[in-house]
Amino acid sequence: MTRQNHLRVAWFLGGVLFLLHFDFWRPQRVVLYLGWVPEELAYRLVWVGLATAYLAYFCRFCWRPPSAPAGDDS
Amino acid sequence: MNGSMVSLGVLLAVYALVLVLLGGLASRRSSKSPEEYFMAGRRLGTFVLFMALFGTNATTFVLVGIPARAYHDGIGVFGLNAAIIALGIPLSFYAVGVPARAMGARLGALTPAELCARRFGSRTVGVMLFGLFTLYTLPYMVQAVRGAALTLHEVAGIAPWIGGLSVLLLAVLYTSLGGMRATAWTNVLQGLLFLVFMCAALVGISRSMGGLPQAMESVRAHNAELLVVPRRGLFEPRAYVSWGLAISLTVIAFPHMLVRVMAAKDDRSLRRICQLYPLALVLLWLPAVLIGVLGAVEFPGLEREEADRILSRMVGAHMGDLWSAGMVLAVLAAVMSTLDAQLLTLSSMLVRDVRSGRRVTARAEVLAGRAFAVLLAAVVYILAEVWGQSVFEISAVAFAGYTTLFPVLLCTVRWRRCTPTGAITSMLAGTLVLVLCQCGILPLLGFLPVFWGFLAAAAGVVIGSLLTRAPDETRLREAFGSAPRTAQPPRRSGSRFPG
Repeated sequence: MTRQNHLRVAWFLGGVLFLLHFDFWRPQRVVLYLGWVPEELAYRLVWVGLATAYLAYFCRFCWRPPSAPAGDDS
Repeated sequence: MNGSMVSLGVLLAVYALVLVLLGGLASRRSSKSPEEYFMAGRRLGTFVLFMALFGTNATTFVLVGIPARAYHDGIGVFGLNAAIIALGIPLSFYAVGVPARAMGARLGALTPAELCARRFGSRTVGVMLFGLFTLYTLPYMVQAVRGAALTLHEVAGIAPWIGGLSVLLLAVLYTSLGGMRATAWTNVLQGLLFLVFMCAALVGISRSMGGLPQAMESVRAHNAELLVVPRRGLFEPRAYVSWGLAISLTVIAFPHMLVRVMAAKDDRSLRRICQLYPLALVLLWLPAVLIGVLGAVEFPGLEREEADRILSRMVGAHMGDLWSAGMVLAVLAAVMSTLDAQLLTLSSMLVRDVRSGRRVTARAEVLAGRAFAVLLAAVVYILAEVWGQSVFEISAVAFAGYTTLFPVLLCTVRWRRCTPTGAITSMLAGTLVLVLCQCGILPLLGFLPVFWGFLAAAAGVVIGSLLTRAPDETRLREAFGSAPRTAQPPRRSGSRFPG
């Protein structure tokens, strides 16, 4: 896949993450997972996990230093 | 003098000694030239750079302000702040920091204001940016000093004016000795100190309360609303969006953060840092929020400044005297790792951007930087004595201001069509709208003032640039170091992440 296509995927996934962050649709429940993790915290920790994976993808496939040649798409 | 005071005194003395030693070691190399003193020769490698950025980023806002906020608003504070910055900060490093580093090296710029001034060939842009950076950095420094003074007073009974003064004097001493190299080296120690302490504090406090499951069960039994998002204040949808925007974009607009990114040894270091950042943020923020939530059950009814002391109260109640001394050290580490960077960056901007018309030797420039650091510390000390708001509230004022500078910084390093008029329009529009919104003159429609300030700044840079003549191509080549993107083959011209 070219860098351009990776960028398109990155934009899409970034948008999805952004929408998932603003989770006003999610019902609020007082539940403790594993005996101590509130549902709100569990949701955020999963979100941060996804964001970390996203950053790994972005840095691996989309990152291009400013000094790279203009046509360097590999 | 009891045992706890002795252990605190010994820890503080050792800590101060190590910082001064590191400053002294760094001074051998840092006095050679302004680039060595202000930017560590642009040679910060991955680990030191990561700790320097992380240490500078974390301050009493996290160690004191966030537990206090979680004390009132509960677990939702983690999502409000930590989650969104785990993604926003690394992406903003890429969007602004990476091209700023390359452009700074090409133009020989040592400060963000100098970078913009040289990119546009306009001293006015540099001086305006310096003025706004100073305006927003001073309250941020004040909250750091206040947080440290409060903690020293709570744990050791040291009068706040003595605590604040001591912290400032120590920071000025090692910063002025070794410049950025000293602050980066000390940030490694300081970052490790407060990160390890916060994790240990959560473990210690929860064990003392019978384990984390029992402690959280107690929260559910006594104050269940702390375990859900309150949907009031900053948690209302439009305010939530505004705050998310502010807190994720503000960090790269801190001049003391941007200048560290500009001092990176290479692009690879920055790429690794972007991947490590979310993990480090969770390790620091999760304990801060959970301790605040547990504290609400243990010490109910605290208000404003009283709530700022919840971390020290919890550590004192559950972990004993030695850990209380360790907490003082952790808070001081967080404060000083930011304060040193702010002192150095503002003094470098005073030297490079405000006094840039005068011809001085490299040695005189370094000396002037040291003198300005002392002067700034005096101003911060006076402000810390008279400012009455809580740590979180003071930080919020600074964050809003920085966020309005994000559009101009982004367009300076990413948009070739951006002009000096556009940059000036952006700064004026963003600041004006922010002030009018803060004063209640403009309607907010449920959003925070920072949201409208940001939009005005973004509109200002675009409209101001498009209405004025395009920048000179020679200057653009000097700044961007390559041909414009329109010169590329057509199939590749649609990149939305211009490099």
